[in-house]
Amino acid sequence: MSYAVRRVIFGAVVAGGLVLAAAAPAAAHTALEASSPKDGSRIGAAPSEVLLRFTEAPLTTGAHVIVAGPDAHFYQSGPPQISGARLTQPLKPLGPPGTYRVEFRVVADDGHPDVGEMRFTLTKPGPAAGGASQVRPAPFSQVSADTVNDAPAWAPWLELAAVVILASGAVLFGRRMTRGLS
Amino acid sequence: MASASTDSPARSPARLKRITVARAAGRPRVWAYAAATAIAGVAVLIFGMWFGGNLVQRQVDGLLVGGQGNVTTWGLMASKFGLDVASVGVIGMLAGCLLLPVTGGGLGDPARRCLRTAGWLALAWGVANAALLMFSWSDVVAQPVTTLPVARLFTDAPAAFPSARAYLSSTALALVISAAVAITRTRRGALIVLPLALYNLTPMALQGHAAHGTVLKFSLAIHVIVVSLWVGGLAALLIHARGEPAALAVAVPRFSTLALACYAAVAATGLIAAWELLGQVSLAWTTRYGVLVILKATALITLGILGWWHRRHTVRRVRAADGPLARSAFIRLAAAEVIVMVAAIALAVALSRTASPDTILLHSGR
Repeated sequence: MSYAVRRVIFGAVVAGGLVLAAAAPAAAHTALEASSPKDGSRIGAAPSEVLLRFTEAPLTTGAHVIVAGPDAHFYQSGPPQISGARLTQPLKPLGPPGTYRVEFRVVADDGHPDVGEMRFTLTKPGPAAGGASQVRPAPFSQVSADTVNDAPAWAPWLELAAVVILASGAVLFGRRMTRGLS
Repeated sequence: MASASTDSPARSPARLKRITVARAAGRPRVWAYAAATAIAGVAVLIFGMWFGGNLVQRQVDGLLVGGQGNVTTWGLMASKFGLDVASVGVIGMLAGCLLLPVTGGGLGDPARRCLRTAGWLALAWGVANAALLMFSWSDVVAQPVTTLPVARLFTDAPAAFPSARAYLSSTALALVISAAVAITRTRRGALIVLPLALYNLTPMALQGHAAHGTVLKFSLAIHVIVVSLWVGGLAALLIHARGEPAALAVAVPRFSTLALACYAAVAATGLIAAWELLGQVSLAWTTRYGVLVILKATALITLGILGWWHRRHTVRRVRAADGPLARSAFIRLAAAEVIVMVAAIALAVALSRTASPDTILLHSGR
């Protein structure tokens, strides 16, 4: 290995090491932080809107919320309103008791759409099913977050196979191509 | 592409004859090779997009939570890949034009061919950029491409689509570069346009994950610039100078020095960016993003090994114009490198769309 090669590799390692030592991981993306109704909660009175709060303010464009009732009807009313990190989705009068699914899509400030869902269960009939009238939403409650981009169990084997096959392939191919030159 | 025999002595007349015959039948082999490169790139791109979880659409009772649909998903991916390949090509062709020797007071034939290709590729860059604008817009606002209010781009673009300005200026600059290269016949012209082209890489590099931090922003911008010079430069020599021993004798040693510096810079900036987004070593095999990063690092290791063969065996002999055998070895090694590089670019496209591990996607505990 020539002197120049060693110098460049050494420089890269030192530079990389310094930055790795100094830098903290970057700030997080937008994620759902709190909601009302609470995710997984059972409530008696139908809320007039769904509130979502994110860790960072999402873009005001591209947000969509769908609220699907147990009767397969959609109960969102009009587009969601975003103010800072807070999203408000007005609702139509809710219908029969059962599980309501809230699916949302917001765009993080780096332009990547994020999707997520939460659920709540209405224990008594809503206004549209002859129940009591809508109420103001309850205060926010924190959500438990989970990450969904975990790799499958075979991923480390894929990495190992790629490294072994490509590296040994490059060694063999290089030797074959340069045979007779040395 | 490896077709050299292993049993015959290296410099035997039989082998030299076979190589000469192969070169005489050069054209179909070039097309077969180009097709192999394209297939490798597309296959890796589709694998990367699938592995990163980007081909899945979220639906509620058959209704998309977004509404942008498959056309946007595939269009986004294809236009980003096209943009990356075209921009790397433009920069490589311009760099190649500067690396190749000047003969008799003007540009030599290979350098002139580089400029001509650069002009067409810059046009493709502009078109891919415009397509990417439309698909990204569709993705952000969750509307099909066909229903986007295109007229608003010319009235209140930032309100309609926050990144519109970056895409529009980048598209316009790509077209300016195309026109500038088309009227350039000199080395100085290439020297003026090259920084413009490098500058035009940054708007795209600073989209997406780069919004996460300043260190990340700088390392990604440098990464993209350096990769373009390295990958594009090699591709330019391979495409336009492979049949010209005299031109290669001058350009290859120059490129080899450039490539070594680029390799170190690509590795360093790639490592920094990966650390910024992963922040924990174990995430490199437990998250989808991390696995794609490792696959890209594998490509870099492979390129390092191929480059080592170049430095050890071929560069010196190509410089000395040491017969067709050395040149043939250089061309084959370089061709293998370009395939790996295109596959790495495809992985980069998939990575740019894949949620990094610091993205917490919510799904409640059921």
